Amino acid sequence: MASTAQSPCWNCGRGDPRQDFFCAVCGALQPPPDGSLFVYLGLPAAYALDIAHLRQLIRERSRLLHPDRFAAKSPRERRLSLEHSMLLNEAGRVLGDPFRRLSLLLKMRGVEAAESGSAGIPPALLMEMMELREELADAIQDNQPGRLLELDRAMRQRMDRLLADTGAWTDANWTREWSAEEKDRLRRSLTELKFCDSYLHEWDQRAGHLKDEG
Amino acid sequence: MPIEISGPSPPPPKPRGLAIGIDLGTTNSVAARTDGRHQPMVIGGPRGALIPSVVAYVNGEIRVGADAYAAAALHPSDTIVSVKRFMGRGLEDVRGELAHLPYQFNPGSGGVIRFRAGGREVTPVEVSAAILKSIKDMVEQREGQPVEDVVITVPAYFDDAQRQATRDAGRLAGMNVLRLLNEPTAAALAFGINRDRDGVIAVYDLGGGTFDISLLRLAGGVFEVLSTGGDSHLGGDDFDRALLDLALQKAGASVGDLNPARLRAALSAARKAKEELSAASSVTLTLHLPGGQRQTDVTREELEQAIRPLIERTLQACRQALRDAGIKKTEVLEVLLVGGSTRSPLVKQMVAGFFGRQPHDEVDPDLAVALGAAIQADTLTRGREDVLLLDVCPLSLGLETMGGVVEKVIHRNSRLPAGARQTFTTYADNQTGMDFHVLQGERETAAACRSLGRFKLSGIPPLPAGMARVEVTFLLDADGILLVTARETSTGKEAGIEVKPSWGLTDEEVERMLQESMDHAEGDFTERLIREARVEGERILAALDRALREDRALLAPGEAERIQAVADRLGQAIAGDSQRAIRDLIEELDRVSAPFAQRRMNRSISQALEGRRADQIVRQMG
Repeated sequence: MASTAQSPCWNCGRGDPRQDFFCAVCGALQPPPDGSLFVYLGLPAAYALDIAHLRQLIRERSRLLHPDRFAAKSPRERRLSLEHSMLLNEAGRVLGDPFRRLSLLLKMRGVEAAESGSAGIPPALLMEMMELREELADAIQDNQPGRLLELDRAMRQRMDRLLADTGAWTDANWTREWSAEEKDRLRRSLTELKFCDSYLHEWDQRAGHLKDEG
Repeated sequence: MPIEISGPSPPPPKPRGLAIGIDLGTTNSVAARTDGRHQPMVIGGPRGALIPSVVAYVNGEIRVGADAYAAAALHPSDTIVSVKRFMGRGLEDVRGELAHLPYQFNPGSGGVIRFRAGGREVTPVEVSAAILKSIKDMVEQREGQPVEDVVITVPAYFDDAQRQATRDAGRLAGMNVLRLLNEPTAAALAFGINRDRDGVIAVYDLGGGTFDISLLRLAGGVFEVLSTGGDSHLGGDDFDRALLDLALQKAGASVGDLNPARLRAALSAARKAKEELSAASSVTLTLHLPGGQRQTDVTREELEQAIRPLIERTLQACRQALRDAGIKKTEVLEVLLVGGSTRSPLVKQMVAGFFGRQPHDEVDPDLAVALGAAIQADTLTRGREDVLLLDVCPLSLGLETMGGVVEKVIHRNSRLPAGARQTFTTYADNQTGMDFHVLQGERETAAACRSLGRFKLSGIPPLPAGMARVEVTFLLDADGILLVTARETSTGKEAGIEVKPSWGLTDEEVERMLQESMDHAEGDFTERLIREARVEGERILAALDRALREDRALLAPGEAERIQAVADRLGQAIAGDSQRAIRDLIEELDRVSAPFAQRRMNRSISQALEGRRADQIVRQMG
């Protein structure tokens, strides 16, 4: 996992190639290299990801880079370890979540979801969203646990399917240019996913207790 | 992409003296260290491992621990107990429970709580610092080595203000605070350190004043917190109050009928009754009411009925924590009980029922947290590499946006350290300043969350609305303490704050307090230890001498001679220069005179409650 940047070590000033974020000459911790979270973890930029592998990778890196390992080191190294650890935690949060992972990949290719309330949202989707939200609000209002669980299941299925389809397309076409139409379609999918995500978030907030055991 | 961290940073700790762990509890505090083989052990005071978290400001002296506890009955409003409940809080936050507390408060600036005790004004941070300082002194006496670094534990559910207050107290006590460690995480560390069984464990921590639930995954020496939750205002103290309310109700009275001295005594009696009901099925409570003494029977069943709703509240937090971690109950491999209140049979029973498995109790629930803190102190100063804690933040952090809505920037249960960046734009043409209001909590509106502080970024270049871009960076360090900076991207203009809560102490106040406490720090360390031991020994001999003269009637045959023999040996040790000899003899004297002291205490308390004049009693107490 040699770092991409080859600037000399901040501590000893010798331009030796680095290994594992530490200077090969003096052993000082180096700043995190520029690049995406995928690059940082040495993973291919892809939607398909072995989550167990990701977790293990982060755990192993944390072992080396956590601030607890640098409590007795110089202030500079302690700051660097804080930066690395935040990055690792961010990687776990973003790459470990399918929707955030896909969002990151598409953002790397210049595709982002339409801002809520903006004109970029297709009218049909906007209409459907409002109806679904109302349905959820009613079910909460009328305290219908069965109905609420059904809404959750349906939305989760819809989101999983759309994630799988969009993710697979992205991986399959990652290495080539995307046309304007393709990007537009991806933006629509991403906007829909964003809605699904915030719908499920609200569901968890308001009705999450329905899934509790005992 | 990486968030760069700039700014001043404290110098690296150099492990010269001892690095210890302290569990700064609501009811009791415990200190621990590790030995040469990295094994943790508790460092006990003269009266055992548990040091009552009580500070008395009496006769111009500060007394801590058991000594202070003894003063509580006579000087209820000068003796601060359960100060942890006030850490990082404003007077408004605790208004609801004041009815049960005998303290007097000074109206402070900025809503900081200021107790009026023993004719002086003290903040909760100072009271906590007095406890920590006394523990530091005790450890130094015992170990014959200066204490330099400390890991102090806090409830996982403590917010930013409560954490900062705790860190300030540690600094004020003259120690370098290496880390604030969440109590359930510390307990998990003490429990899991010598085991090689990996899996998910639940730590249920019910102390005197706080409740925490944490779910952790143990894998190859890595302790990964999956989620945490709780209630920073729920604990055994609430059980005591529930029991007292119950007893008073049966006697046809209410807390309003009790003056501070009676209330304090009644709460002590309630706690004792509660503890007895862990084994007995019924106890008789003696209440000193304005109309005279009343005996009230309380059964275990009645107590359990009164506290059941409180325990149910803890289980609700357990459900939330499971949901946040995405864990099913069946995936929880082991349940660990921590905190003195888990000794309650009903707590054990309900927790076992909830998780469907018998909880572990082989680690002493009173000591586990301090032992874990000692392990962490060892890890941080001696570079122990086989253990790693990965903790999370308990509460979401965000900014107030238009309409009083909170935009969350860091979500609860995010792994620490955490950093996040959010971009905001101006909403008016030529707007040159932007106000930020930093909040902590899960609610949607700013009014319902806890305000951590406000700051302003000025000097934004005049541009049409929505053109200027201000980047706000949140940085949550490994202690769970927040640093916020804002930067206008076109000019690079920056404003930063270490968010100091509106009701917290200012840096100047902490500095002043530090200055005031510095007078003890000078001089050679061993010289100081001996000097302190001599002073302590002389104080004890003088008090004992007075007591023996005044209360000869309370002595058993031969008792005075036995006590005097040890006192004489202590006198000789004071003349010598062995700190250890003095200390050992103080302890021996303490042991041999304990029954006599107890008799005096019992009599003084009953006199106090019978309304004898206070100055008479003070004289008798010595």
